[in-house]
Amino acid sequence: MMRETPHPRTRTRRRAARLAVIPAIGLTALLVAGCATGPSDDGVVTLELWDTDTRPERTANLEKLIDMFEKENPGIKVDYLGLPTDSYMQKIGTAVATGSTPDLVTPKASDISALVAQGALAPLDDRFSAGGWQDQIDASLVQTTRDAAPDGKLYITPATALADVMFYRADWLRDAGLPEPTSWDDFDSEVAALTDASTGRFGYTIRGGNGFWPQFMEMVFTRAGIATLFDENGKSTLDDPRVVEAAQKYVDLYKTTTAESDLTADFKVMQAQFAAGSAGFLSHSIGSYPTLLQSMTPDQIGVTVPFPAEDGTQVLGLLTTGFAMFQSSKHPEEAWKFLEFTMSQEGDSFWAQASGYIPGNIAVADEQWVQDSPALAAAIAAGANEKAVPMNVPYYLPEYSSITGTDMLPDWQLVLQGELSVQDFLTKYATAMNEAQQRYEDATK
Amino acid sequence: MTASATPASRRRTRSTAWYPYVLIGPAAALVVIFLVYPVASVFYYSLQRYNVTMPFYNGFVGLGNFIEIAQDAKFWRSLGFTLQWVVVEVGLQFVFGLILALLINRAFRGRGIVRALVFSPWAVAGILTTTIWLLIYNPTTGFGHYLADLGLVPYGTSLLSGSGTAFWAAVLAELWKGAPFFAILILADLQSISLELYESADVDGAGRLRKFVSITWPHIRSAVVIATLLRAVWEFNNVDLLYTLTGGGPAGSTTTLPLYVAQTAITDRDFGYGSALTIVAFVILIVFTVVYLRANRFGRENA
Amino acid sequence: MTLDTTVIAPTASRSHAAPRRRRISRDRVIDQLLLRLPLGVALLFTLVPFYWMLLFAFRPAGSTALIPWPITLDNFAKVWNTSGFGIYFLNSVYVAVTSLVVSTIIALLGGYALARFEFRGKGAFLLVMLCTQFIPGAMMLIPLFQIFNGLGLTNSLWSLIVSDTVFHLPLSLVLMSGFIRNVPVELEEAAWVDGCSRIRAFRLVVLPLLRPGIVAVGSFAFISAWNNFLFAVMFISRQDQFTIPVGLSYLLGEFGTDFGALAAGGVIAVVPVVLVFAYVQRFLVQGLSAGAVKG
Repeated sequence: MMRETPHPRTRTRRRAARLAVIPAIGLTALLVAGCATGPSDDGVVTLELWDTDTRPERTANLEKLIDMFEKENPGIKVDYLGLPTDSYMQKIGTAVATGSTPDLVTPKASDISALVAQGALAPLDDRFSAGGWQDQIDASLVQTTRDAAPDGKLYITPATALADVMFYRADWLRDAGLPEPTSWDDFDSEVAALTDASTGRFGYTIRGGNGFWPQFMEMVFTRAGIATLFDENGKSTLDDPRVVEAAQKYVDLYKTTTAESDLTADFKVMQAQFAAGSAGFLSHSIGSYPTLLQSMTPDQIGVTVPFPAEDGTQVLGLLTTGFAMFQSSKHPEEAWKFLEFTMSQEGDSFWAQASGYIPGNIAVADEQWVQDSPALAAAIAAGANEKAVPMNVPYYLPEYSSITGTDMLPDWQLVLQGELSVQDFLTKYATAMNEAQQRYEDATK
Repeated sequence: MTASATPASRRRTRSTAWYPYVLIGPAAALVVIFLVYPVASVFYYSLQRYNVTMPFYNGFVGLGNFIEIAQDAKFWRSLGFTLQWVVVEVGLQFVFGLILALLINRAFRGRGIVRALVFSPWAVAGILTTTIWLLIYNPTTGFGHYLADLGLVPYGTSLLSGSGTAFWAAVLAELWKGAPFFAILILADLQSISLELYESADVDGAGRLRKFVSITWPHIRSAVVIATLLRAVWEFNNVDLLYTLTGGGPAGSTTTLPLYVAQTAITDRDFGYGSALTIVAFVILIVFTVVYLRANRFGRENA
Repeated sequence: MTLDTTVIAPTASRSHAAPRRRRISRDRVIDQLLLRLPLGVALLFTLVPFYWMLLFAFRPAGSTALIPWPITLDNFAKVWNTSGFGIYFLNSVYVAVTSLVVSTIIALLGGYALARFEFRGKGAFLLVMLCTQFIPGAMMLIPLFQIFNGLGLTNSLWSLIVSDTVFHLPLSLVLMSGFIRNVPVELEEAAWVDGCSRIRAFRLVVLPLLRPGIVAVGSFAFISAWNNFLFAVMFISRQDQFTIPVGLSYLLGEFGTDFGALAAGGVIAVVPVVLVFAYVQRFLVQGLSAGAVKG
């Protein structure tokens, strides 16, 4: 402490200066340190691909697909980014709003409407026909993909699709001496027969929680034999008497053949129940077959498409899930090359098989592995039925997802709890759908 | 209670007037740079109808969103539930945290390990907390299954699927994670209590309760007050647990206002209405904060 | 229940309590019971959920045993190898440690100002700080992203460090100012009288006594940054810059839920933090040095 002491004011000024240095350095470091300079290309085009359904197995498959593509296209590299299943729409929305979108993305048909409204995706029609793909891809898949868009254009590659199916414990049926179910009557009697609440065994697991609507459509509209949510007059079919009746039968399954906790069950809970041996039947889509196989053996699982209605109409639930490119992509030609690869026989065969999807490429559909997979065989056989009608879902309607996702869920749970009647529930939402459709038509005239 | 800003600083006022401003400079700068514009944008959007998937509807609506909110039954219900949730949750967390801190403050063998263990739920990521408790409440993988094996409860039931029990299930899960927050804070605060105070109280023959009321509580009071406020705001705004554990159900019975905001703004992409709801929540929180701090005489630090 | 902060082990008091042995031992039994019973319950409550996670992590898939025997490491291998957890782990460490350091320093500076000074705008500053906590980050993603873009911080872990720090700052500031206020200003004044500058006095006198406070505030900042999911997903667009919470989210999806892998990922995410915590919590208590404060 022995040094010449300058004037107090100078001392404090110096002290303050010294003091101010710390926060100044800190702030500068914060603001400057992050400046990253990206690598430059030199000849190789790098595409960015965002995956919307990231899971360890799927990531491995997708990276393999990318490898296959890069081998055949040495000048193109594809960088992979995995988005969590629950938040990918938010991330894409942020990217669109801030102009930081990638080149490629993996949407489902149900995502198209929202993405197109934001001007995110590039229409593929011209390139699709220029490449002669309409002759190579199953026409019904192309059509249902077009129908999902507000303007009827093609926005995602229609080369892979999910189908609604029911899984059941084939081993339980064998043990109980019951035949494989082929009709709704079979289903009703078998789920009842398999239920033994005292040992924790339930015939069915109903989706009462998040994401209930696709399963509702799968089980109710198929039983009712109605394949559209809006009839020829543009009116909602939700309160059609056949739908109400079928819905009542569906609701009646709760608590009589299902666990009480199914009130809030989402897929995770349902899958856990099915795999652990607490449920005999599970309604979901073929995409979960590989997952179920991870904890069960093939002879334990039976697969069937939801049964035809009384009048023989077989309603099929199909959802294409493919690849798309962004409108703002700086490398549209290369991006399209990737999309073409995923639709080609080599790419489609690999991707569909690895993911458990229905292949859209006609040549691939004849391959042996398609016939060998029980899930795919069931879906394809049902599609071959001449009374088969694909379910027409109004994905193009912007309010569709908020009505069937957020609005309907609490009321659906009230219905299961017995606090709201099926009729009132369906009438309320038929009205909501009609109003949404009217608003949409008024706004887009 | 505790010493604080004092005459000593006044003696140096003239030459060190800008001291505090320099010290709070970094914090203030960060907030100004990174938060002013985003917060302002929320205010901006609250006056719009804004839904990216329905661009034909977007436009200025002035106070239209707020009028709609006033008539929105879901809003009022969620507000009521939020109050219930925050009061119960923060109250329980505080009580348990306080007890924990007092317990851990004592010396006993293995105190270090116990301390580490008991504080650790705080370190668990939100996504993990909900996953763990989902596994516990799951009818197949959770407690329910094993209890049913013992015949104590019927199969296929879960706390999460009853309108009344879902609330307590969520409270328990959040309590597990949140009580350590108070415990850590209070324990750190307890360390600065002079031992002599307790010793002289002992000499005076004071009992346990008296010592707590006269020595411990006044000392930790200000930290507790502010921690409770911040925790209340956090619990108010935090949707992760409820979103994943109950989804706001069953039948909307566990939907807080921020969860309603998340559903509206993010899931339904109705960002305009969601922003308006956020502003309403913002105003509520400001009013609450000001009233709360005044009531606890926080302005007068020399309490 | 005595609430004194004595560090003398319970057994030591026996030696000078002999004459009143009978009363003491009954008192002490109740005392110990009042300590150990609630503590036991608290421990149980704390540990059972952890045990549940460990159970799923070490148990082979499909098993429903209550004890994970035989132990399998398959889930960990799966998570570490196929999910790339190694990189996420490193990123998380980088982000959390840096956030911790930056947060704590800024909180020390600002907290000192709040604790020791009355200045114009103090109330407003505090209110603004608190107000930033009132709007959820999810509602501000796009403007925040635009700011980071403008500063060149996107696609860099610094966007996470900055956003984690900014959102955690009010809590750190207010808590730190509380801890500083607990240190009597007389100690600093004594040092000033001795000729120390304010900074030196702070370093020599206040800082050592602030150890529990710094540990508390620092660990909160660390944990908050370590566990942040939203910003990590939204501000980063390079796979090799994602953090652990994002990696965990991959294990929870619509088409596949592998509870074993998820639990294994959870263990990987939690164990390091708990270990650090275990080491650091020692500094949450001052022990006898608290007695250095004399009136």
